[in-house]
Amino acid sequence: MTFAGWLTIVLFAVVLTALAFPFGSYMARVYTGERVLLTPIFAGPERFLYKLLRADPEREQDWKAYAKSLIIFSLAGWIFLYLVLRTQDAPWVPHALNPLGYHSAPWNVTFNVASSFMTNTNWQFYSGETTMSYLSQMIGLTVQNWLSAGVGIVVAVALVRGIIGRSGKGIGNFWQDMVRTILYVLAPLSVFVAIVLASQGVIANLSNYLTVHTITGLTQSIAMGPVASQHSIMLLGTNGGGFFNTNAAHPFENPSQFTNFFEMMSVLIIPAGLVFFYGRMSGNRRQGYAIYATMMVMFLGAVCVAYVAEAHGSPAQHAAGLHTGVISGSGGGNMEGKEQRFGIAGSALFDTVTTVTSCGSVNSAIESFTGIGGAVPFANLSASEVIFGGVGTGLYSILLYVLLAVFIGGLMVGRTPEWLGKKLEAREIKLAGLGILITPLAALFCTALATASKAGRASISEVATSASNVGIHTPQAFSETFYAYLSQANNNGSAFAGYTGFIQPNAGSLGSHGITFADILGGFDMMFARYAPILFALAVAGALAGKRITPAGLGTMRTDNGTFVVLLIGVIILVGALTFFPALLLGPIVQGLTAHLY
Amino acid sequence: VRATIVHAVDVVAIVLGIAMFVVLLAIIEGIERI
Repeated sequence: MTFAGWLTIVLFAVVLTALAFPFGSYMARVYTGERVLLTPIFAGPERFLYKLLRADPEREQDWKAYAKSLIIFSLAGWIFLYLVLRTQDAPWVPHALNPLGYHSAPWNVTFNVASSFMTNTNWQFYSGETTMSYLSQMIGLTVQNWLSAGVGIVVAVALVRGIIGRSGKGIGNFWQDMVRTILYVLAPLSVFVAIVLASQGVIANLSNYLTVHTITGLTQSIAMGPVASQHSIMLLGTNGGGFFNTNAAHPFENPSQFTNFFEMMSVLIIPAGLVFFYGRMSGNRRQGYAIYATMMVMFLGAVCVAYVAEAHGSPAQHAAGLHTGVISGSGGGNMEGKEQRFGIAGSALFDTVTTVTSCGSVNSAIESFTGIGGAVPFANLSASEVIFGGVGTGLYSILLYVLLAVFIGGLMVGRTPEWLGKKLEAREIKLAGLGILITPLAALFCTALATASKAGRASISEVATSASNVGIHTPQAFSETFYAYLSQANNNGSAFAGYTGFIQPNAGSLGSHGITFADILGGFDMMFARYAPILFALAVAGALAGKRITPAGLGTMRTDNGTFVVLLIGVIILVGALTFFPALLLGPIVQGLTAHLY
Repeated sequence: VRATIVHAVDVVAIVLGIAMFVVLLAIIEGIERI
């Protein structure tokens, strides 16, 4: 460990907090219809989009109408994306937008990809530079990066409206929230981030791939493409799907220490800002501070564990006699699968940022982390996106946990469960409980199916690539499988590598085939675990919207102080541990306790 | 026209996708009864 490493972590937390606070206030003004700096620019396009969508922004929707609009909107996006991906080699696609003449990926892989990008997961069985045309990247994948991020944000906004609503059943208008999210939140930020990234060396072109001659006399193809624009929204929308296979480890996506820091900030700015947005909307900023403190404590805890574990190295490395201490010219630690330009701290921090959120972008190989370091992303995913979480998903997920914590706290001290003046009853608790448990259930159910079936085990790398069963019964193989379905269920998209659903012998998809079991099961995993919790969150919003607000009395349990922060952290850890601890024992934990190198 | 969209497997994939959303719409009605 180094001083510079710790300084990076502390500086990141401070800068994030300083930026997120004003951004939260800005979002509160956007969603309450107040005039903001960008109103003169976007008021016209906003009205035009309402006309185009035939939407009346003044008409309030109840939770069911809101949810149906969201589901229909997402279905249209899914079909559109599927068709774009499956026709990327059609005659009507201009040569300039598919310069290498790539064929479409097989139907089963495309099913997985469409489900992945539509749900904000960006799980990638494919490599972008060997599979996707520029057109597919631009109007297929990037468009969904915007829309899926928007869907997450509007659900959080609707839930907050339901929580603070004083009368009636309305929780806002889906179409209005969506248009405002795209125009006032995502568009300005993504333009800014794309320009900064391009200025730092992230490429942005439609060129043919370059062919260069190496010093050993061989030729090498260097992939090009419109990277900066896609990379910016994939960070801001916590999507995570890399333009290139190596994602943010690729120098054309993340060239330097500065871009690494900037990209991590881009990932967390909206999820962190939304927490302050909630505080301001609820009329009690301390509510926001309490949730922010909960998230930050858990986030910093995760970063510290990952950093210390990676800086220390694994038992297997020590047993092999490898030197992992800090020496002149090297920060030491477990550098397997990490980029020299980011080092241990830059890799551990990036990994934590992208696994507490639904981003899933990576700048290092998670499967090469030490057992304990690798357990951190597992634990982050096990917390079901409540430590900042994805854009919108983080806020609405933790608000469901708040509801549960208030209920449990009320039971413990014998007080009536109340939250912001609203009495909590059986219906809200049932809805919140179901909303919380669906994602873990989906992940565990799919993992069980995959590990218990021959079709599922065919995706484990050792089997898929060598047709032998060597390594299939190792904790590493279990970790790969478990992580794949956990990541997809949490709409994260990062991978523990190894687990595959796409066999692609040649660039351009010629002769390739998908592994149908993994592709289809993963697709359903992502869609169900994305939308079912959304429906329960919106139902909670609807249930709370109509409740009368009663003034706080002596018997009201406070939800904006340190005691509640501790209670909330305890509930989150307890639920995560009860659902995932047995599975974690079978994979990363047992690996962290052994000197055997898998 | 060499577009792969005419393949029967694509129809299967799209039907599977639509089926998922139909289930989700049904869940909306189911939640109302909780």
